Amino acid sequence: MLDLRDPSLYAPAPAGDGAVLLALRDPASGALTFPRSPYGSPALEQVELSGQATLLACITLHQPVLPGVVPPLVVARLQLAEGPVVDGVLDGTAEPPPGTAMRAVLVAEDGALACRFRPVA
Amino acid sequence: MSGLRDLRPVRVVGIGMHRYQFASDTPYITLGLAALRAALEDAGLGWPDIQAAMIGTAGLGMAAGRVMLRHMGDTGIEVMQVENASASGSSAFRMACLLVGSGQRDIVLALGVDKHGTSQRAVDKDGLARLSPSDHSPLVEFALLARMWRDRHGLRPEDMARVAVKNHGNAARNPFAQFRKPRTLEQVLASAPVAGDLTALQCCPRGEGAAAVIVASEAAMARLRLDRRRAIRVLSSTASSEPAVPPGAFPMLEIVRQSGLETLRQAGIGVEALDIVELHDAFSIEEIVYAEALGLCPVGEGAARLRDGAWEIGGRCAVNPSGGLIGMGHPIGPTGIGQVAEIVRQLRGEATGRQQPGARTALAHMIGLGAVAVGHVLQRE
Repeated sequence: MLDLRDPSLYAPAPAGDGAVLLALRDPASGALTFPRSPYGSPALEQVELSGQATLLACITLHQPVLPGVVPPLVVARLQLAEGPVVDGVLDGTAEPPPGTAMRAVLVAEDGALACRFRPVA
Repeated sequence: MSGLRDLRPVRVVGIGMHRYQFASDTPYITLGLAALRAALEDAGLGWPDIQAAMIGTAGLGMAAGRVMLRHMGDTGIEVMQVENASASGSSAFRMACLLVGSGQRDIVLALGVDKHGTSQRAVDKDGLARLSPSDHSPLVEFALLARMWRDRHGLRPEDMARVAVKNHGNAARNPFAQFRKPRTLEQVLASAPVAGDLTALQCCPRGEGAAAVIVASEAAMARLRLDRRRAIRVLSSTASSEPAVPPGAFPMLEIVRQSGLETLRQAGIGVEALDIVELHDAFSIEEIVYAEALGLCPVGEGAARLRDGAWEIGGRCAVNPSGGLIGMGHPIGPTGIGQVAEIVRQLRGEATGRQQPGARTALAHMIGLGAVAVGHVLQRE
């Protein structure tokens, strides 16, 4: 089993190749924070998010404009099922249309398990 | 909340530029002092007349202003370095206006100078991991926004490309611009794809340069017999940071909308009074969505305004007659002050070759990483 690239962000789902995302929740309001931040209120509780999401938009990076990016890379804005909006990387080079149901998966990449998003089959 | 109009009148009395250019071996002091000396000459002032200097820079390091200004002679004035990402120069100009407006100083320099630095950003040092390497990348943020505008409002790649055609065309007529070559729609669309529908000619260059403006009180203008006919009044100055927004809203657009409204409100004018807007078009889509957010047209109609020429020089409201960040360049520290210098030149009627006819009132609007927004309305009296 490979190590997780960013264990502060995600963990393997109980079954399959899916990932859960590691967040914080305000027990008073239910408000969620992702990623987990050590800088906010200590009263926040740790929760796991399902990794289910809806694709809002995605684009292909055609140039190596960011550190660690090897083009082509498809990056997306996703609304997690629990509410937060995050930026993530898609698995593959296809650009699914807005509204596509997505899920977080763990893929082997450069000797570690990275979190990517893939359309729900 | 009181604004600049409730303080002493503030006027720009001098402007100076060092052309924006690609990275070179030229020391930043050469860039900055060229702009400063041009501004002093434009105003008819000497260095000893300057009572404080606000220096906008993001990439030079500590004490850049003091190290530069000692070559003008030690006069003991207040020198402050202002870093506010892309809005560093705009923020330095705001500080200068407030110093004069509040009565603490009578003549203040705002100078932006920068060279292509390390581009280190605090957001990359916050100790938090992220799902995507694109998180907090302005390029990706606006490429995604362009895609959303396509899906929601039918914005096409050629609509965005028209921003670059217009602004490269304006920059070709601006001797201080980094790019001096007009581009066709076909050239813009055929340039290298960068991110999503954004091509290389729709992205601002990084570079270096300098811009300087001098603001003065009425008392100083009378004492030094400065030319009132070429002085341009600063009607309002605002600064803000990203507000909380309801689900589904775009924080960057909301900060532009709110800061634009407040800048106009404090100036006592409506958007219809604007003859010129200089705004942050680091990427072509930004001009469209910011112009919509500022109220130049309803949301979703920016593409139509580009097609009918409303934002061209000679149109209803010239947007980025300087060439904007895409054409004139975006050396960071100078950019916001360069906007003000362009507007002053336009309002004086001295923008040879790119003059907006009859221009009287203009908005300089800048955003910066964070996000922050800084706005100023200037008017010929």
